[in-house]
This record gives sequence, structure tokens and C-alpha cells, in this order.
Amino acid sequence: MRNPSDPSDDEEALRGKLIGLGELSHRKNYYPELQKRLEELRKAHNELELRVEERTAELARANRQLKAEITVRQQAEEQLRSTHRQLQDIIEFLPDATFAIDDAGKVVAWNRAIEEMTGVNKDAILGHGDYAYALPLYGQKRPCLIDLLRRTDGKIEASYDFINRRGDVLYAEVFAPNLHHGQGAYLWAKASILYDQQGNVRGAIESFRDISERKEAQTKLQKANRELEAFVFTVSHDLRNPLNSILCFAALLFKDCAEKLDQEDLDLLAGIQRQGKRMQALITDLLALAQLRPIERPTEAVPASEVVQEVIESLFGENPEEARTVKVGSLPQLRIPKSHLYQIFDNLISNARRYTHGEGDTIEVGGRRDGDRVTFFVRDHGPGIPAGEKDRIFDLFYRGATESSREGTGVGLATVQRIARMAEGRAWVEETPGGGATFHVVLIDPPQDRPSEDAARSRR
Amino acid sequence: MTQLTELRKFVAPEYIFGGGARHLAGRYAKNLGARKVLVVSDPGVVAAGWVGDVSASLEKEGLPYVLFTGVSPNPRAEEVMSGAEVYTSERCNAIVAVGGGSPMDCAKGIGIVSSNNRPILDFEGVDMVEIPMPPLICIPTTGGTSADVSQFAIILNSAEKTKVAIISKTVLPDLALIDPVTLTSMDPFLTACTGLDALTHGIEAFVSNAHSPMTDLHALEGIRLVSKHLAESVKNPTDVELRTLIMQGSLQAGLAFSNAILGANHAMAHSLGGERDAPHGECNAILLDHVIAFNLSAAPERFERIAEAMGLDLRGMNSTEKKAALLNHIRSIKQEVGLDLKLNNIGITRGDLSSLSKKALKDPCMVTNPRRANQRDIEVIYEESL
Repeated sequence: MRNPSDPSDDEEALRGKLIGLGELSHRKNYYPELQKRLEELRKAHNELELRVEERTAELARANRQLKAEITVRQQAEEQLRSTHRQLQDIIEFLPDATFAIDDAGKVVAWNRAIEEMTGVNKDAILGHGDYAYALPLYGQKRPCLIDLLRRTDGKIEASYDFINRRGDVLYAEVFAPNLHHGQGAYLWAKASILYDQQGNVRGAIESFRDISERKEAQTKLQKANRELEAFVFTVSHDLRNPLNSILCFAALLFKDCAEKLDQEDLDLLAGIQRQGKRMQALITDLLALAQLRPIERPTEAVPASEVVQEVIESLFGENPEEARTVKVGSLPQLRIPKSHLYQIFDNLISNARRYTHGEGDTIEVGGRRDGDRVTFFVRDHGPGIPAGEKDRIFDLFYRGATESSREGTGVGLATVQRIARMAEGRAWVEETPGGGATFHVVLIDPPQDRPSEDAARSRR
Repeated sequence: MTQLTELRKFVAPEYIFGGGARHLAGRYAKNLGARKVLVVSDPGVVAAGWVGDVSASLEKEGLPYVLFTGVSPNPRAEEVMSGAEVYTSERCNAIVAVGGGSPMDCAKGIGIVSSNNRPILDFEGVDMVEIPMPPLICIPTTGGTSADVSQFAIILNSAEKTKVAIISKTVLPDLALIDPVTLTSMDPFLTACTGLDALTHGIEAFVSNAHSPMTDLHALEGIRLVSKHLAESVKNPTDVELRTLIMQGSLQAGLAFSNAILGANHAMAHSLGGERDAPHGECNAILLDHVIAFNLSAAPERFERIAEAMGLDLRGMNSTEKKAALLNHIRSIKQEVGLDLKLNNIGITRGDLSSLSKKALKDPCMVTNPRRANQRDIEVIYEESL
């Protein structure tokens, strides 16, 4: 039996602990703690060693990988060097004089052709900047075409005969007064920007070619042409007056003496008149050809349909019945002098008329625009052009073998071709399906805001 | 209920007793592996010069130290925590406490916190300290608390107004340097308080229900030395011989109570100290005769031996006369040393008694009191002490 005053179990346990008999009662002793810490230390040490091993292995792996990468890189560099050498060699042996500059304007390439042209060795110029490359050409250090790629310089541009830009490439002609020991030379030059793979500008390259001989020949040719034109003009003009007199006299003779002459005489007189008129036509055509001036494009576009109507009225004014055989389709507008356009249609339609004899045969006129290109055609349903004549038909004074073609002067189609060439186009003939000839004329008509080569030429 | 065959343990720290023992602090700190020492003390002890002696001995051994004196009488939990912060931030690895119960208990708290890294109040109770604290040397400068040889650390929880007892064999110091010379700086009031504390230790340990022959020896000798020489020592504070006798008595009473534990007197004094922050020795002294009166019937023959140790001749007296003689003697000692006080002298009124009693009943010291007490019993004792 437990006495109510007896201590409870809890109190008994507390008392045991107080007098030092509890489970955890012991004097302070560092040994267990020390062992625990030593064990932790051992563990940490082992872990550390493991990590050092891992890290060492990792480093070794990284090292191997790095070595492999270095080898690959060295191979790539070697390949790059070899490619670079090849490119240098290509530039070195290019037939055109060529040099290149880096982004800072220093010369990085100077090939054999340019050494020969300028007499400057690559050793003397490689690495030099500040327009050193201009000195052997112009006698002074100044910007060249290669420098105009990325900035404009009105003064320098003015020193070129013309400069034409196509994307990142500039074409130009220029006179370099210092070449050939001060004799100077005409150069055709071409410059382009050099990019790296990322599209960054790394420099630029310029090539040029000595075109002095061609230029000289061209000048001579132009002079000869001008002389010829003057001659033709003078001859035609001087021939026209006596011819007019002959025709006048023949007409007077026919009027005054018709009753006095017999039929044979009348036929002869008619022959004089017919041949005289042919000669008159020939002289008119020749004068027109000789008087053709380079095209100066008008600011306003010329409607081709109006020009064609004028031509039809002029040709068929006395015979409205015949005028109805000309069927005019849609025709574009274009910036070509009206007089040139008139001559094209005048010659082509009168040519077609000569071969149109059949009842109900028509002449069709049409045209269309594809961007810069304007194409006109004039189609007949006559006998057509024999295959062997198609190429020669545009030659001056060429006339076909047929009766009808004899009536022509041999000047009209040559004039058409000449105008087409002046407008950067051409003229040619094709067979009309079902018989006949179709004449085509292509003319280049660039938009007003983009100057053509002519415009660039006229900058000077 | 105490039987000869019952299990008993006796724990005491290594200690050096004698004049000048304080000068050995440096040598022993070095022996214990100290590299940098936290010296825990309070401003009064510093002013008395004892801390200077101790730090000089540390310097002599080439040991750097940091002084922490943020300790009030009845050390607070916050003080322990800030001391531990100093200990850690200054990278100390040993503690030397110089002073009375307050600096020594605070130093024990700092040691516990620095090795366990938890708030000090977590360790309330018995055997709650898991990891041993760093090396601790205690140099007592009061003759009574015996914190230098005990497994007790009493910390004030100022928020709850309670004193928390941390009891663990691990809080015993590694070494006590018990130097009676240090007692000479105590004023009469402090001498009286600490002396009566020591006397209470001896009495409670002797009548504890966990006493043993080994604790009995020390308890009776402590009672004898303190009761005989305390009044004289209060009157002659500079008499080193008297101080030595009191210090010896305090040491022996301390060894006794640290192993036999205490009783209702300390339980109730802890409760008072928590409530009013009154000096511990004073609280013990106020209650001493009233607790004896309550306990006497539970172990009359042991109280007789206490009376004999105090030099009383009880021959021819009946039990009532014996009781009166013992109580009168205790009261006369209190009067002689100037501590004949009542609870109302420290501001306790009847209204406080209920809560004081509840707290006292929860104190671990209550477990070894020779007579079981209930709430009412405790309230009555407090009442009688008013």
C-alpha cells in the first residue's frame, strides 16, 4: 500500500537524477565528443580526398579535351593559312592590276600586274595607309574609287569619266596621269567591299585595266563617224537642190508639152519623175539618219499611241480607206524623244504597207512594258522575209530581191536599228504565224529616279 | 528511508584551497589548453582588484584574454547570451570566472551556450546539457555560494520572473582556485548573506533525504565552522584566518549540498529571488528558522546533531525544548550578523504568497526536502516569515 505522503514515481526519478543516478549523469568528459569530431573529421577527410580525386580526373578529362580541341584548331588554322595563300596567289596572278585594303585603309594586297603597271613593288607599299596607293596613279595621295564605296566625295567623283554603282560594286573609267612615266593611261576600274562571314566590313578591293588603246580607237572611230555623218549630210543636202530642180523641170515639161509628146516620150518623162522621187526619198532618209542625235530623255513620258496616230495620218491622209487596214492595239508611254519614236513607227509602218497588197490584209501595231523594257511590234501578212535576209535586212542600203522591196531606200530599217541601239535596245524581225513579217523593237526606259548609264555618263 | 546500501554518488571538482590560489589561474588555464580566455566577472570584483590579479597571471603565461563584466546579481538569461556572443566572436576557447555566485553561474551558462549553440533557457532541469562546455576555472570571491564546486547554475528568466535551475554534472568547473584572501573585500552585509547561505547549504544537505555518510561529514563540518566564526568574521573583515575558516566551511557545505542536494529553504528562496531579485543569501536567511520549524518533526534526531555541531548542549531537554533551543540559536546568529529580517523588508506582501508557493513547489530542490510539503504548507511558512 502506498502512503499518500509517499513521493510519486516522477519525483522519485527526479531525485535519482539530482543525486547523480540518472541515465545521462556523468562528469564532463571530452572523449566522446572528441571521438565524434574525429570521426567527422575522418569522414570529411575521406570525402575531400574523393573530391580531389574526382576533380583531378575531371581536370585530366578537360585537359585531354582541350588538347584535342587545340589539334583541331591547329588543323583549321593550317587549312586557313593554306586557303589564304591560295587566295593571295590568285590575286597575285590576276591579269588585272589589283590591290586590297583593310578596314583601316592599309594596303594588304598588291599584285604582280599592278607592280608592272605602276612600277611600285609590293614590299614598298604593303602595310601603308593614308591613300599611298593613289600616288603612282595620280601623283598625289587622295581617295580613289575604293574609298568611294563607303562615302561620297563630290570632288573625287568628278574626276572620273563616269561612276556606275551596282550594289556594293562600283565601275568607273578614269584617266591616271602618272602611269607610263607621266604619259598617263585610261583605266577601267572596279571596286568592291570585302565582308567576313558575319557580314562585317573587313576592307575593300579594286582592280583596273588599261583601256588607253581602246579609248584611242573609240575616239578615232567617233571622229571618223562624225566626219562621215557630216559628209553624208553635206552630200545629201547638196544633192537635194539639183534633184528638186530636175523634178520641177520634169513636172513643167509634162504640163506644158504633154500634147506634143508621143506615148513613148511620156513614159520616159514619167520614168524621170519616178526615179527622181525615189532619189528624193533616199536623200530624205539619209538626212534623217545622219541627223540622229543621242537620246536626251524628256521629263514627261510620250504616249506612243499618239505618235502612231500621227504617223498613220501622215502616211494615209489621202486614203482613209487604206488607213483602216492598220489595227492599233494598246501602246505604253515612255521617255524617248517624240521625233525618234516617230521615225521608228514611220519606217516600220511604211515598210509593212509596201508588202500589204491582199484584199482584207491588215497591219497590226502593238506594244507592252516589262519593267524597264518597252517592246513594240509592227506585223504584216505579206510574203515575209526570206530566211537568208533576216540578219542583213537592218544593214544600211540593203534591199531585198523582190519587186516590192525594191521600192525601199534601204535606209529606214537601219535607222530603226540605230535608234533602238541608242536606247540600249535592239530591233529584229520574226515570221508572222500564217505568213508575213513581224518587226520587234525593244527600248530600255528606266524610271526617272534611277539614272541609267547615260545619266551617269552625262554627270561630267 | 535512507539506507546504507542505497546507491550514492559523490562528485567534486579538482580544487586548490589556500591563500594566493588565485595567482595560479594562468598556469592552469594553460594546462587546460587555453589559447584565449574569456574572463567573466562583475564591476565590484574588478574594483576590488581580484580580476587584476587573475589577468596578470594570464598575461604572465602569455595568454590573451577578453574581460566580460556585464553580469548583475542574479545573472539574467540575456547576459548569458551576450557573454556567449563575446566568447564566440573573440574566438575564446576557455573561461575563467572570478567573483560570487553571479559571475560563476553566468560563466557556466556562457560555456553551455557556446558549445551547444542554443538559448540558455533550453537547458532548464536536470541533465539537459548534451555537449560539455569548454574548460572552466572558478575563482570564488564570496564565502557561501559554492558555485565553484556545485553542479548548479541558477539563471534568472526576467520575462517570467523565475529562477531557472540548470543541474548537470557537466557544469562542474574543471578547477576551483579557492583563495580565502579574496573574501577580505566583502562588506559586512555581503559577508552575512553569503555566510548564512553556506550555513543553509550545510543544514539542508544534512537533513536531505538523499544524504550519505560522505555528505554528512562535510555538511556537519561546514555547519560547525560557519556557525562558530561567521559573527566574528563580520566584525573583523580583514582577518584572513577567520576568512579562511569561513571559506573552508563554505567549501565543505558546498561539497555536501552538491551531492545530497537541498530542500524547501532553497526552493522557496529561488522563488523569492525570481520574484523580487533579492540577494540569495538574504532570502535564505529570512526563511531559515521557519523552514527548520516545519521540517524538524520529519527528522528530529538529525536536527539534534545539527544543534550539537553548532555547539548547543541539548542534554536533559525534551523535544520541544530542543526545537526551541535550535531555532533560538539560528535567530541569534541572524541577529548577530544583522540579517534578522522579514519578508516584508524585501517588499513581499500576503498577496504574493500563492504564486511564490506554486513556483517553490516546482523547484527541483523540493524533491530532497525531508518532509513532503503541499501548497498550503509552503504558504504557511511564507506567512510566518512575513
